[in-house]
Amino acid sequence: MTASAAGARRDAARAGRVRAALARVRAGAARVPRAAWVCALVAVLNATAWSLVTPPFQIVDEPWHYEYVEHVANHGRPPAPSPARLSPSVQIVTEDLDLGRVIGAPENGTIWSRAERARLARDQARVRSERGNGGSYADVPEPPLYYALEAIPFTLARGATVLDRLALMRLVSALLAGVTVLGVFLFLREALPAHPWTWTVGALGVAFLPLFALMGGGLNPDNLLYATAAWLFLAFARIFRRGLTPRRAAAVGALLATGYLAKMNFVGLVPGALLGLLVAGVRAEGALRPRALRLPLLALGVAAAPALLVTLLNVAAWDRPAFGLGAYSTSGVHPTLGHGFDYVWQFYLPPLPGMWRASATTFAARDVWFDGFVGRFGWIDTRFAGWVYDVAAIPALATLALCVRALVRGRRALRARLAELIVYAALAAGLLLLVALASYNLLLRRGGGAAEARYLLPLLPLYGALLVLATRGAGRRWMGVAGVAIVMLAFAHDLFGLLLEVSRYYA
Amino acid sequence: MATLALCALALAGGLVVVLSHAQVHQTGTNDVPLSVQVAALQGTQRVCQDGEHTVAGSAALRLTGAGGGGGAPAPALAVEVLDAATGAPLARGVAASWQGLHATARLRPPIARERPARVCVALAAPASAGGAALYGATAPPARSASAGGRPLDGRFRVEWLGAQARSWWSFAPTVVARVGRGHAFPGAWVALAAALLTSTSIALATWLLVRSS
Repeated sequence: MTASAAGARRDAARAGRVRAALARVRAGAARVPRAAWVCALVAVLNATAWSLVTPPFQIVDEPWHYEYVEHVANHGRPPAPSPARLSPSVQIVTEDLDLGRVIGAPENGTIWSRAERARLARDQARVRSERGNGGSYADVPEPPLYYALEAIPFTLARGATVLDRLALMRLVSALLAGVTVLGVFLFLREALPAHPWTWTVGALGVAFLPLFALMGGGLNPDNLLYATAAWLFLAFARIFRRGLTPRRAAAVGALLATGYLAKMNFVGLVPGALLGLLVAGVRAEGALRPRALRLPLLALGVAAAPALLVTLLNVAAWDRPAFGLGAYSTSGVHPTLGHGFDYVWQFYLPPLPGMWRASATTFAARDVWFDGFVGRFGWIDTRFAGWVYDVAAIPALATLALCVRALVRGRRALRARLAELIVYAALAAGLLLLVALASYNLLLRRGGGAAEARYLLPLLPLYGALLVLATRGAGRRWMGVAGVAIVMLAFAHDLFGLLLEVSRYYA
Repeated sequence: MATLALCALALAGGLVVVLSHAQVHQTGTNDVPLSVQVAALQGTQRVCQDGEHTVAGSAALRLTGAGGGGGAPAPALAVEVLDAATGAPLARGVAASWQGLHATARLRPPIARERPARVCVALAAPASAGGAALYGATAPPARSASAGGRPLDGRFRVEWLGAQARSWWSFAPTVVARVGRGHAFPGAWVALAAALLTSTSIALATWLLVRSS
């Protein structure tokens, strides 16, 4: 047998493997209901619409995220800690877009005259330097995966202007919004299998949530976090319904690695995921014995390999702290357990008598979380009129009441799935705790906080489940009415959110 | 289906009501945010601000502040727009009443073209019992508004307004043009594409809802 014949055989074998892999992907895609694809497509289209309406760099921290991508694309590595500095080409665009006067000042729209546009075009052509510091490291200590992904359109658009590249990168985020909604739909199918059409209600409710669409239309690593979190919830729903297998354990491990490399906030979901793996391992074995840890350890091994590699690169090659902590670092601060508890409590709930109060901890749960969820756009400076939030409380309470009714009616089934519910609760609690503790850390470090509703969007699968349960809570006779009303409310919410953006920036 | 039709009707009705609401829209602003009080008008005091630019098509000028106080009615404000180069008056107007924090003066004649300008404000009736305050933001003395040649603490906010109240329907062409200007690949297509994408996503979702329920 000649060498060339052996090579041809190897090529043929490789092509066969590729064909088989593609066939598996096609078969997997074919098993996904068409409704799920449509919901994902709806999310992509809606997020793209938001990306077109929202002016460039008018989503929280977007200039810094752009800078990070630019650094990754130009240097092939994430930025090291350094003073915040935008590259000249981004700096000139932020100045020409009047960012300094528009951010935080809802009375000021974005640029809209021909003269301003001409100046922007002229400056974009004139200033091309991409020598920045990779963003504001103190605020954007994030791991590099999302930025590496966004570096693809950035690099493909070589020679394009800052605004052109930003538009392309926002499209990648919109695609991730579709991936998130696909994950939410499939999670609902696994976790709440009865009444298939209600999965559509839950997924569309997520797709048309304005805060989610706003983020999906912007350059922000939260988008990869949302997608990974949605698929992590799906992975556990499948595991609890169908059992823990090596493939599912590996899938959880891959998701843990992806999430860890996407955004630091993902760490909040890790304790819940570990609990889920442990519970699933024990259930698979029928008892708590060493063998029950086999598949959870497989998942951790899959998760640890890329995480360790990045940690090693952080230290050995990239001059970054091992875990890229940045704003999450506790060095130089002295937290106390009592104050920490009081802060975390007040982060979400009204203070109890005798609790320690710091001015920055006086978050009004409704103001930050409910109003933020209903709609605080741009740099959290674009709000509906005050009465809108009052009116929004009515359908929100009705939805909650219907959801509680469904849970009460299905309490027997709930008891049978208690372990699974505890895992979902642990995933949620871990994230809530991490967001609050990160904010407490920021308070100690520089007197600020970080209470934004978008930080809770990794829990979108649970929001989708809430909508599904509310639909079912209306009872068999009124289920259709409730489901349609929920989706129509979501349409209205989304449309008026877009109009708010238009009136804030262009009128 | 009946629920869907009813909800769609309610949504369409809500949109029509909101978009038919007529209001005077901005033609431009000096982009000064509202963060502090920068001027207090009393008696014959006149506050002037350089570095303004008239906006073609403007027929009114809106100031933000507070008038009256201590039981006195909010006083009328006299506004004058002067050519920055020659000092010649370009337009004048009186804001006879306040709507909340806003005092709007109709300009005579309306502004025909863009040019550097100076905006001056004073009480229309110097004997008014109550004074008025103008809001804006702090600025270096060289760029601040001044009273009697003395720089104040900052610049007051100026908003240029169109000639008449317009519904969002009639204002739509202006909005469509504005949306396109700050984006990549500028043009009217940006707003039209956003509208098309939103309509398509809602149509798809409605179709899916009908089909699956």
